[in-house]
Amino acid sequence: MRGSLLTLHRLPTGYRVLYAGILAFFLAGYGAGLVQQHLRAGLSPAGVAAWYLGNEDDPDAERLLFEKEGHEVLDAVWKRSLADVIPAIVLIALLARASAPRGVRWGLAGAIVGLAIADTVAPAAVLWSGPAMGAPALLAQVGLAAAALAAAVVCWRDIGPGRGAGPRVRRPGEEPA
Amino acid sequence: MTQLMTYRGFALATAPASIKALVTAFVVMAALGVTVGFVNYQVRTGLTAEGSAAWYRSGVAANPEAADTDPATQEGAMPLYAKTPLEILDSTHPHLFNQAFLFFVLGHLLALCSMKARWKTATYLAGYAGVAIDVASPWLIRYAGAGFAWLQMAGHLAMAGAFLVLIVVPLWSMWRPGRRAAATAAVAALLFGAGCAAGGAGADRTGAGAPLVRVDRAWPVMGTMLQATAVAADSATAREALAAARAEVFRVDSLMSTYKPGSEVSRVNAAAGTGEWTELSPGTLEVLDAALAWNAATGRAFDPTVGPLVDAWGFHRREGRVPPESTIDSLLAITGCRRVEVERARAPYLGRGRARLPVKGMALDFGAIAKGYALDRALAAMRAAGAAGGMADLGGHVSVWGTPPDGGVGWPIGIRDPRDPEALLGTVTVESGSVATSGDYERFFVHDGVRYSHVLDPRTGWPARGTAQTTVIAPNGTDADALSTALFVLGPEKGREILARHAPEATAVWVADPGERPVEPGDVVVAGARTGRVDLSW
Repeated sequence: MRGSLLTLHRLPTGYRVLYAGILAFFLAGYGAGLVQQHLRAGLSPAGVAAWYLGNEDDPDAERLLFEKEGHEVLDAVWKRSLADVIPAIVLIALLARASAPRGVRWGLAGAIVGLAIADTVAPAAVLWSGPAMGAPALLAQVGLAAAALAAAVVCWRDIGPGRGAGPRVRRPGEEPA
Repeated sequence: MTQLMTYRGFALATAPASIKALVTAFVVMAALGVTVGFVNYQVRTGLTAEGSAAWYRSGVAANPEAADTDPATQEGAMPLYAKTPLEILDSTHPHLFNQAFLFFVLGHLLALCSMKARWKTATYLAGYAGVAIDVASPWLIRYAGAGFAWLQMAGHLAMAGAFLVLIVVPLWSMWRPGRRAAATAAVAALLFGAGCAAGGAGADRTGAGAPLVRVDRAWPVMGTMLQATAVAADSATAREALAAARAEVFRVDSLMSTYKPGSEVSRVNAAAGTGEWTELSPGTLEVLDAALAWNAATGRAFDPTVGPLVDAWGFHRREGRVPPESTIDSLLAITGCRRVEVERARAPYLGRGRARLPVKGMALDFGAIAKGYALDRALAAMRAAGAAGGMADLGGHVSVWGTPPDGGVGWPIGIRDPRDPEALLGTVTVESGSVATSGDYERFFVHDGVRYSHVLDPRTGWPARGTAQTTVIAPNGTDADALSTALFVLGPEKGREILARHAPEATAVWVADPGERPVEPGDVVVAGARTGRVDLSW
């Protein structure tokens, strides 16, 4: 993240629209994921565990959930390996070009990577390690959303309407126009 | 790419061939994905506002192909049910990431093309606006009004327009005339992709030919056991279908049980004689309408207000007794559907209404029809969940639909011998329909050597006599349930008339009360024979 030629606050309007849009949709997507978990089985460790391990033995369960089969959980892991990684790459790429202090950017990038990996493997961890993994799985999901929100705020400080467009940067070694 | 685009003078038009090839492949794949997305939407909604509204708010599948419907008869049309928040969220969540990311990447490619900045910005805004409308419109259609289906179509138009620009402009920039062959190849690739998408959309989505998976479950509900079987292409779908079926049956029970004080039917009964109306949900109103219709059609042989009489005979508490004549007469005076007052919402499509009972002591009891309705809903839920076939059995009332577990044609259902619980009189083979049985062996008591069953004749207030069992095979569970009770009361002679006049598609099997001897062939009467195949054991 050192020596970047492009910083967000220098972007022309078109790019700002692109970046602001992707940040807004990603944040909405993370939020929708939390609501989705809330509606599926409850935004709680027990709810996350029930989603994968089922609740057929719970007579008071509002909604019947069957235990997921191994291939279903692998499907979920496979989908998350794309769904979590792509937004993480975009967010980190934007963070790398933000004007925030280096420590903040590195910290957020590390959190996003770590939480994205944890969120990706969470379904398998819950299924094969038991309901105790419900809490870490939930923590990964909520933490990833929070880290994404923090990254978006950091980037928005540079691409928001208050910052004017800067000059286009030069290729290394290129002469100024 | 992000860095390249910032270099002055860098453009796709002058990019190295390797980058052009990479970008072209990506754009073609993106075009393919977008095409598949639109074909998917077309299959679901027919690309019409009406179809879109039906998809989210309930109705009938807009695209006949989507439901294997016979266009001539509409037979087999797939009923669509109002989407739940979770169902909508299941599409909203990935769309927020996938569609936005696709616009984001394609937007970067457009940024590397020769085009006025304001047009680029307009394209980005149009695309994002389309995505925003696409993810918001299902919620608006479902909860704010069907009219928002037009907004959804406008959003899709905006997305389509933006995608067209985002796909065509980069391709044009890289392979503009002068490199005609390459341009032709790019266009051919686009057409090939669209063709593959269309071909894929037309492919068999039912998984025909693949081995089907069967999943069975059972739960206690409605005072009996719900045993359900789902047949589907994979176990996840089958289990999802079972969960949906179970949820429907439990929902019907929570609305119509007289054992649950909070149910709508219990609240109607509790308010009897007070003049207060009780709001009814569409399901309860639908069952009440069906009950009133069968009451009229059968000349009161079926009566949902007979509950107080059943209670007086002690059948509700399973402690049979012969009530005094005076009690029966006084209770007969407060039974009868003509006393049930029903009002429907002014907008009939809302399906809501309210009801009240004018006399204290009156009571509605859907015990002879609600199970059939619950089975109808259960099978519909299985079908909507993607199952290829299913069976639901509520205490011996069985409804089936679709492909049976062995992949053959029709589900065999046994007709029990009313005097020998271990023996079958025969079997009924049903492809799609419901088999309901009323028998004098379910709840009865013997007093002074006389057998009194729980099936009361609402016209006399006394248990119906002369019939040991009636089995009705009908296209749906609601009618089968109501008819099995009514035809038990009426017997075969009058029952045939009712069948011919009001249920020409139904089949009925009566077994006359044989007394103390075993059932013999002469005790059995079969009429109708239009739904299912009845094979008696002798």
